[in-house]
Amino acid sequence: MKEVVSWALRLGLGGLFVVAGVLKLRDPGAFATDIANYQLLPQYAALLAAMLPAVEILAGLVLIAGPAPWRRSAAAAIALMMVVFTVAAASALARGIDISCGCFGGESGRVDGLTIVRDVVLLAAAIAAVVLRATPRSATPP
Amino acid sequence: MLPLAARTAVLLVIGAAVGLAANAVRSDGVSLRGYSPPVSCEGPKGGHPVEVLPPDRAVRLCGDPGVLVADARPPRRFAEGHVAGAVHLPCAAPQAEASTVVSRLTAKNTLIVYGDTTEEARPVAEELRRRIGRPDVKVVVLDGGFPAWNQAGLACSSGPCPECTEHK
Repeated sequence: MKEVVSWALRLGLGGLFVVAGVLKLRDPGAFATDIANYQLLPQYAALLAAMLPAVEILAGLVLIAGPAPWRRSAAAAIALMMVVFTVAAASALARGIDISCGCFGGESGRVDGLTIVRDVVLLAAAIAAVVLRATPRSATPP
Repeated sequence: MLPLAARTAVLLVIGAAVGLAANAVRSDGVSLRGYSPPVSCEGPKGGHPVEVLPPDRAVRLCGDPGVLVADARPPRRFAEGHVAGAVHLPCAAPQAEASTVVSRLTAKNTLIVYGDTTEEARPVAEELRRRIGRPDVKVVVLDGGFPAWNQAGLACSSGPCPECTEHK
């Protein structure tokens, strides 16, 4: 059961991050605008827009198909990113800034309460992927 | 074997380096040095563009109780001078403020939005049109923005917006 959950988390979370990264890669200029619109670190918007999609794709791919120790690291990297995304979205919502989320490139919706809920669920999934390790067969009691 | 934190850091650094390298070789990559944050938000995608109204036609609507004028420029620019009777509503205005403008449109049939340029006001106008969601309210952009209005010698005033929360 644990292995099934672990696989589902890896495929779901990893796949989602690969898709999100690819969608952001399609228009880096528009993604930089989305980041700048959060009004947190607008001067770093271009740098983040250049780096973030590749980090997401790499983390997603490693989580799906990487060797076991690196899979946990990929899940940890995704958890870190989700913390940042959640804080940024909550901050925008708290300041009443009505902006596009930028989570999935041009396909993103506005930042609202559902964005926060989704981010928290994904953060929980990433933490679970770090914590949950498939039980090695040799360790299974007879 | 590297500990979890070190492997995570390695992954992040490799991903960031790959991203920067890919951005550098892309013809449509974002410019890291010449990038300046936008002064206005990107408007919603899709839908037909809002109508652009020349100042001489817009001035005929002045005094019409069914018309509301919104200034989409930064607060400093608004305070320096704005169309007489305009409310201040930059793109980054708090949602509550934008909602207040939308609620004030109950008895209106036209919203004129302007910026320093036509393009600055367009995304704000498109966003407001989406939020208003009323086909009986016409949302238009002032062609040429405030400079065109001012140059035409049309009614202006200066000072902060008394009805806007960010000016208090």
